[in-house]
Amino acid sequence: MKRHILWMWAIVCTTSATFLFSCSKDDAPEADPTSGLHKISGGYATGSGLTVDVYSASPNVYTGYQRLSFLIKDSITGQVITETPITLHPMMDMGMMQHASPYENPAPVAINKLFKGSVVFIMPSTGGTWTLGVRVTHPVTGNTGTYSGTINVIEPTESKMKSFTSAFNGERYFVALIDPEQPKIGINDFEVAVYKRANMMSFPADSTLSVIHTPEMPTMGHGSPNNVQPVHMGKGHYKGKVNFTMSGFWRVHMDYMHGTEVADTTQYFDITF
Amino acid sequence: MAQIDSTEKFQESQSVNLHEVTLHAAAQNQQQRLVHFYKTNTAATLEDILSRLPEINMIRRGAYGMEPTIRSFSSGQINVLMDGMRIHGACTDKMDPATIYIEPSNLESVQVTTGGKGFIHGSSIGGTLNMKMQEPAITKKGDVHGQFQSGYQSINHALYESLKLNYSGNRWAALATATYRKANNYKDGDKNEVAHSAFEKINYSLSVKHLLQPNLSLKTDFIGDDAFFIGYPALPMDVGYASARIASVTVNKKYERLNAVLKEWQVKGYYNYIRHFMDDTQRPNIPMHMDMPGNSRTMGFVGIVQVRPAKKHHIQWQTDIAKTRLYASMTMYPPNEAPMFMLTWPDNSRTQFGTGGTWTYTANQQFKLQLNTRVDHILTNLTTQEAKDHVSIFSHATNGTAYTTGNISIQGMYQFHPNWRWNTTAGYAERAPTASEQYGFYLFNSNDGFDYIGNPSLKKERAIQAETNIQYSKKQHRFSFTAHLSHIQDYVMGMIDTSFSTMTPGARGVKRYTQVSDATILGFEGSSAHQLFKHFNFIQTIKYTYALTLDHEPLPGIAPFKWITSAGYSKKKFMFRTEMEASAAQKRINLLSGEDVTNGFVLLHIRTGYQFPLGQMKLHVLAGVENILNKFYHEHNDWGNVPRSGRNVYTQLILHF
Repeated sequence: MKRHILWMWAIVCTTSATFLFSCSKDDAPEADPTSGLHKISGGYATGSGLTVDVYSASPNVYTGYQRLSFLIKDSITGQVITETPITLHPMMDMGMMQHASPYENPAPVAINKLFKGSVVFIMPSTGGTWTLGVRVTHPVTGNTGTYSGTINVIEPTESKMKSFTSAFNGERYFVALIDPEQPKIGINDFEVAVYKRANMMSFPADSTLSVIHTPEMPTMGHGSPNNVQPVHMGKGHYKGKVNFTMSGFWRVHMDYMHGTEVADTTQYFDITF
Repeated sequence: MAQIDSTEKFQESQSVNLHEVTLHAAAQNQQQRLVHFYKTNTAATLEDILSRLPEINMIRRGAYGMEPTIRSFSSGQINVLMDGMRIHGACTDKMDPATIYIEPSNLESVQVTTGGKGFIHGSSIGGTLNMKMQEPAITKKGDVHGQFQSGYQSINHALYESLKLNYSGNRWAALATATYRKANNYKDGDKNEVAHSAFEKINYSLSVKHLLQPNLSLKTDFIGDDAFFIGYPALPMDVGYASARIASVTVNKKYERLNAVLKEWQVKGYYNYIRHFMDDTQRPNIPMHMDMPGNSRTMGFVGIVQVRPAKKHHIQWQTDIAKTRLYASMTMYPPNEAPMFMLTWPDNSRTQFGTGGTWTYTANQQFKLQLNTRVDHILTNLTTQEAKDHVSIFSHATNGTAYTTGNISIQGMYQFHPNWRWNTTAGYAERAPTASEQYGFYLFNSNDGFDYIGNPSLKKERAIQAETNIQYSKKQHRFSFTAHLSHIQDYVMGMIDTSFSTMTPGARGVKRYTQVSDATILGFEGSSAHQLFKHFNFIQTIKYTYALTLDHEPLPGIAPFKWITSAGYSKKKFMFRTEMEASAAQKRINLLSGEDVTNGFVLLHIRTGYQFPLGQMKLHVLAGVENILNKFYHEHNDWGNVPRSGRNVYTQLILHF
């Protein structure tokens, strides 16, 4: 009998301890919204009374489609701003010439204190200097200013940025691979963003092309079944599915069509995992 | 099924005398006699013995590791059990049927139950092959006996060494066996060496039996098997290493009181772990190295009771549960590139729970009626996200499957004459698809050259079956003939799917498991044994199967007509026997399965033996010549048409002590 009582005590104590412990977890201090992110640029946006910090998910910024997070604070009070319009101005200075690149401005409302936007760096910093201008407006004072910082863009081992001149209309197109970000064996989301070069300073999203992808394992000479062709979902983003039946080196062939006319069939993305 | 006293069996051991065999097999059927006959007469592997049974044909991929089929029903359609335990091979290419882990020296008997009554141990449409292990013999305290065997074969310079020891205590006994086999490449009938046909393996077992009470025993068994290399000439890879660890604990209680209702019960718990590594390092001109490891773990419980509720009624009932987990992967190593990896058996787990039994009603001395039934519930799950990701490529059904299968048959036995017995069975059987059929991921079949993809949405395979058997037995003459018919619905077969591209270099295409509406398998088998003029004996078996789909296409993997006959003379300690093995040509072939016409052949073998007394011991010398005519041949179910052994001289010494 005595042993039974001891056992019961043990059980009661363990259960209550677990309960207490799990309760205390709920009272943990609010998580830092930038935890896990890497600050790549930041400073005062002259004339606006705001500071701008630019974060990326990886410590390096690579050529291609880059998701960026922006933390905006009042430069005096340090208060985090969660509602304000933001516009981006990426610029490549190659000495002899300058050009911009495609970008997506953040929505004017922050998600968990961060504004989410993206820039498509169409070349690495080896050919010049990338600067990213962030124009912000103070929600209280209405003062506007721009912070501009350099960003070092590295070319990844497998390029996620392709461009071609359309055989159909002679226009220059830029295509950035967004997904699969972390490829796996199985069904992967497949997403590319397509932009047309209107002039050196304007790269609007394009939705006029249709995109056909064909995964292949060049070493084995086989493809994969049941892929879903990307379709335009808005803002130049084309979404589909790509299936990888095994890990290793895959080449996803890309065909771009303009109606029934071929725009380009020479491009591909290499994906190794 | 009558149990034979293991003590008696052990001492009787490797006899060459047919009469003695018959004596001990008194309560057995013709099939058991044949097992015993071939077991007692050759330096055979279990595969050799099985291939001579009328119900069995073997699928051959290498010199070792043949896969048994019962009346052309293969792996997924039959149960291959060891003492009632489920063992699932760890090879996606079926290179390791459970029979590979058993040596004849630890085998007591082989029980083959066909179609309509072969589902008592697990739902199946093709029957059950149960290998019964030898038990330790409890004799008197301090009793040690055993046997040492050593053999040699000329065709592949193969060595065979085996030791068996039985020690008896007062109320307990232990039986240990160890077997070593090593063979080099063999030569075919044209004297050409068959590359990659060598193998080397050891097998060891320990069984300990305690008598807790006079009729209550506790038995613990362990079998280990390690193959260091097994060549598969018909496949692009060999087995670099394979191991099996098979353990079980059995409690058995018998009630000997004549009018007892409960006659016997038995509970068994078991676990086995099979690992299998395919290897191509011995192969020349490999474009890139490939690793293919696989493993299988099975845990289960089996409970059996035998009840005699009334004088004329006998019930044997079994309830069992088994859980099998499978995993196999493939990694290719292209030069200067990232390794390529995939799961060929995405991690999966199958739980099978079933209950079934037989109820026998003995109306009178002439007439017996037996009802067999079984119900199973089979759950299969993909156990990792990675596995589900793999399967999601070709199916949305990644959340597992559940099947409930039901089997029933009725059997009538009529002894219409003291020497004649007529036996008829009719039944309905179902089976669930196998893990390979459901979730196999680019499994290469080198026989037809296709990669196979599983299909989680397969339905149950169902069969209506009938068989009739007539037996004659009168002292020195025995005769048995069986005709059988199975009509199968939703027969599982691989069908070419052009929407897939091949994975394996050089493959002809991709097949997806699907179901053809109807298939029919029918055939017959017969055997006879005659003892003439006291010392002559004459045994023969015939088997034939005819199978087709609804579109009158022949089914693949159907062995042609085969006739094995043996004429022997044995007197006292001397034995001499000639055997003839004749196989008809097989022209009914399934082209889509990569089959071609197989020629018929006739083989002749001679076997002889002599027993010397050596004090308390007996020395038994066996020698023989197989394929005397040095015939160049292969059987229809030999993959890749790899020729079989040419003329082979074997010798064997057996020391009984």
